[in-house]
Amino acid sequence: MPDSPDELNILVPESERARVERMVTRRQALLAGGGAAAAAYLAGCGGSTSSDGGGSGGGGAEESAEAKPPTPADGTVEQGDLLMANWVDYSDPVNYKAYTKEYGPKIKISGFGSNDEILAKLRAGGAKYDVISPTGYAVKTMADLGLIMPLTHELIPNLKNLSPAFTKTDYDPGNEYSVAKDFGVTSFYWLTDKVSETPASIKDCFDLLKTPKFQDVRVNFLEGGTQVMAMALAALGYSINSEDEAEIEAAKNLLVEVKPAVDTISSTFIERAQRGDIDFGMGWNGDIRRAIESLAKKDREMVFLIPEGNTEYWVDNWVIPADAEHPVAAHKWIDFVLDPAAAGKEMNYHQYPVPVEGITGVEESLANDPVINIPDEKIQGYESQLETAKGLQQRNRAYTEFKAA
Amino acid sequence: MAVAEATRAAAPAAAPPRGRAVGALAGLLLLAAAVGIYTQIGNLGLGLAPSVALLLIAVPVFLAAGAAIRRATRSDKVDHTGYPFQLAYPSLAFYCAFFIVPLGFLVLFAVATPVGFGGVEYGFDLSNFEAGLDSLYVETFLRTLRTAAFGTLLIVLVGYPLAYWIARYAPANRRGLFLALIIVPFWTSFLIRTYSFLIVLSPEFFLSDWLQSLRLTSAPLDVLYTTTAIQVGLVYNYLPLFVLPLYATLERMDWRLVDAATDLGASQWAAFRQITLRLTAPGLITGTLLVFIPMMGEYVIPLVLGGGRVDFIGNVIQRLFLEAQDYALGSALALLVMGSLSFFVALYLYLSTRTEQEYGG
Repeated sequence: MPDSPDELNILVPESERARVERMVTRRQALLAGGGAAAAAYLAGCGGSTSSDGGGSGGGGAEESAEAKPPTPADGTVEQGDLLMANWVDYSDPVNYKAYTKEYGPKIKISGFGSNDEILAKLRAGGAKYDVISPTGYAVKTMADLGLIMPLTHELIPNLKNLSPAFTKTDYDPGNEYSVAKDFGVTSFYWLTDKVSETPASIKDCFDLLKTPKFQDVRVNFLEGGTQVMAMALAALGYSINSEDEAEIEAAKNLLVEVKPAVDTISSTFIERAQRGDIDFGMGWNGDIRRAIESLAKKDREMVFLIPEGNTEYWVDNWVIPADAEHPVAAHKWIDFVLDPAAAGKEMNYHQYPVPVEGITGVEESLANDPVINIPDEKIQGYESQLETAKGLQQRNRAYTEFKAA
Repeated sequence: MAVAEATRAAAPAAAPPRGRAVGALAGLLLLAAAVGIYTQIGNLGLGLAPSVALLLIAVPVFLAAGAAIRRATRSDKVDHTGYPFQLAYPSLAFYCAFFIVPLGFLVLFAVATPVGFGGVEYGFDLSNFEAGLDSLYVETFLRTLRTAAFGTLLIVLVGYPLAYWIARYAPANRRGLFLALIIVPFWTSFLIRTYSFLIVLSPEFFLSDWLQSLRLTSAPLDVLYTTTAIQVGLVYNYLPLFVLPLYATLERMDWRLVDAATDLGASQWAAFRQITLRLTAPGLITGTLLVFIPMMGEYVIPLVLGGGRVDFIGNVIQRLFLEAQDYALGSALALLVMGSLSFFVALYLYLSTRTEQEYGG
């Protein structure tokens, strides 16, 4: 870890650096176990997948690298539009324009609402996305299935700007497939003029949802079985990655119990939240910070809970699908947003911490906001999602029952 | 089996041209498949649920076989039309490539064993059908069926008088305009029309104020993200599909028949029931099917106007494919829905044509 003057401008204050590194190290520990388990599972299935089942992340990677031709080495940016699949409102349109001005390709955006959805689209093939932004555990799954291509580091000179802590994640050590985009937590938020209570944990939030008063409160949940079940499992004090039948059943029952209070289930809720049309909901800290700022202009107060106890902690990443038609243009986009100034614009726009060293132009209030800068001891209690086929099917089934309730 | 033998004997006797030979062969194969399912089902050692599923699936196979064989064994004394069968090849090829072949994949997936993330191991595993007949999915299916049936009924109640008025009472030189008013919104993207109702049904929109000032509602409109909103969205989006075929039959009505009936002493209602309704029955049946079947497959409207809170069966199947990556269960469920839908549609057609014939007799 160098101590050159350049490093003084990093996103997190120097005093916080150790915390960020620990956060990532913790993720590695989790993913090391889960990744090996997933690979072993896939190997056990035989025939239908291409993973060789090696315990290390490299096993599937080498094979898929052979199967798919690597990126053209001459580095000429392809003609035609760059097709990006991204979470809704997750990159600054100003950066799209600047990228087009510098490299030529126009950027076309396609939104997605869950990692499961984008994984299934890649598996089905034919979508021809050039660059996508899945969460860490999904990067690991996609790499094991040969759905994303190894990155050509020569095309990403700005990779040197990536925070060292994010260059050795266990879902993708050495950034072979992915470059960290930003990171955050999932929790609950509410409008203080509609909800006077002050829950302190995910469990408190679910307890509140059970009260009769919440029939008249407009409640939004995020979409997707893994997402919703993670929160219910956390509320019950179980691991968010539990595959225990009894625990899954209990979490499902909790969801069914609070269902009468839930008015909408949508991951594209942010504009409604910004208008103040959601009183209490499940969301990600950066999105909600944007809503908090919009609402503050109308003299309304929204609170995002950094909970006691367990909740979900995640890192989203840029990756390039194996069937991308404009891989060089995609590399150039990744390189473009690793530039300190562009990264600063990204961070100001989506309001999640971007792990780029020497990031510039980040609003002071954003860099120091407690919704973004989460205390170390709290992060220690949070968990990242892992992904297995069994867990996915258990969660989807529970989610369908939740929706039918 | 006796049926199969009988038709096998009959087929060569017809001395058909090439197209018909293919048709007869396909019919016999289908029949053999259906007969195979029915005769072997006891030997497969299945539980009740997969057996029922299989039997349901065999129904459309039987119908198709029957149609193919009837066509092949039909007397062909004269070729009335002189229509060259080759002209049907492009549409036939299209139909095969985009319906029959994908359907075949669906069947393959449905009897396979799910493995890992979206993988399947091919085989013959009927447990997917058993899982698909779980009360959770049956309830979702029935809810979809109820909503679609009610939606169709509402469309008939709104659409019939509308088409009737345009065909009979609207000034002849204005009819085109009224039809255009119905069709033009239909040119807008389905998605945009659905999203627009988020605004129309919101309590801030003037519709809410109007309803209040007309004393129709006492409080601001509160239907967004409810089943009512889904129902309204269904009726709005599918109305033109019902009105157009119905208008086509109403336009051809000879209103003098109605005049004659009333002259001869029939009440207005009796004349409508015995003449207009009977003569427009084909349009009515086509119209209702045209709106009912797509409604059953609807998944955008519940997602947008229902706030994603309630699933239609389409949403469940979509999630099985796209989120749970369980292609086997998703395919089985899709086939079950197709099978039971075919059953309901066949029942409806049977009942409605019988009623029509009774009227006629």
